[in-house]
Amino acid sequence: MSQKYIQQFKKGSLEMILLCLIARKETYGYEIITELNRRADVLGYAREGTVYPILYRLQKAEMLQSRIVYTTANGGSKKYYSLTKKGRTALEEMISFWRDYTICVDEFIGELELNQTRPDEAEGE
Amino acid sequence: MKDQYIHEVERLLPLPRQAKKEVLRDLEEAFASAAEHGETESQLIQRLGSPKEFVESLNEQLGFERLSGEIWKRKQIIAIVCAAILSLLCLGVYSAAKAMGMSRMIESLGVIGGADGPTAIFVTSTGPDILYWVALLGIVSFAAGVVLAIRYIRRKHKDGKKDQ
Repeated sequence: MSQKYIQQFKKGSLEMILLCLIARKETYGYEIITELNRRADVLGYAREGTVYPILYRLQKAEMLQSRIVYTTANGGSKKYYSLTKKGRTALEEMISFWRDYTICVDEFIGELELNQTRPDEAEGE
Repeated sequence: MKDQYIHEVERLLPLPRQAKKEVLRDLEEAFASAAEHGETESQLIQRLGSPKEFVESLNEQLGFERLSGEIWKRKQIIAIVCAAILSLLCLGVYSAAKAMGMSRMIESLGVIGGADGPTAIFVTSTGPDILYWVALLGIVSFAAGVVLAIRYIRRKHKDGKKDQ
């Protein structure tokens, strides 16, 4: 499939995917990238340059909050992200829309497939 | 390699100081976390892309061009205000000194040949000289302010057209 379409799809859903990931448990940048890249077969390779700005944007929109934790393990600090109440509500709304949306899209696909598998009957009507 | 990378990103990022600091901190964390998870610096950099690519990718997502335009405007306004204040100050000092000093200058001129010359000569020879430079500075900063203001208005006009 053309890279352009994949990017369009991702653009619309990456925020929701990130919110889902962070809603599961408080997490930090590297873990988010690793988690996303476990599904690189479908999503493509996640990079910091794509993910960071979305995190900034979500935090600016007060859907995410972060706290800096100083760790000895990596000799520095980690920024842990979690959902705010607003973020949780927004995610619930996104998910409920996504459910309706996929059902709707699936219906279109289903109708098309029905037409294609029974072309004679469709024409005969 | 890491320090060079972060430094280069710092140079290229068109963000306000606070936001820039955050990105650089996050990059530091990325390097540290990569090391913690057994990823080498070059592996991480391969994923990040070159500093330029990394910055461009942030750019795409955040729409910096607009942002850097905002920063430019703010800096420009500060420069215009500074130039205006400086020129007002200089010209004010110049005209005040001129008005006040006229009579005194004539007085001190007469003292040049006097017995206690040194202090009197000092006053008369440096007085007008400093005043001359103050006036010049005032004129130059005024001119600079005008040029900056014209540039600012032109740019704003152009941006306005672009937005429509």
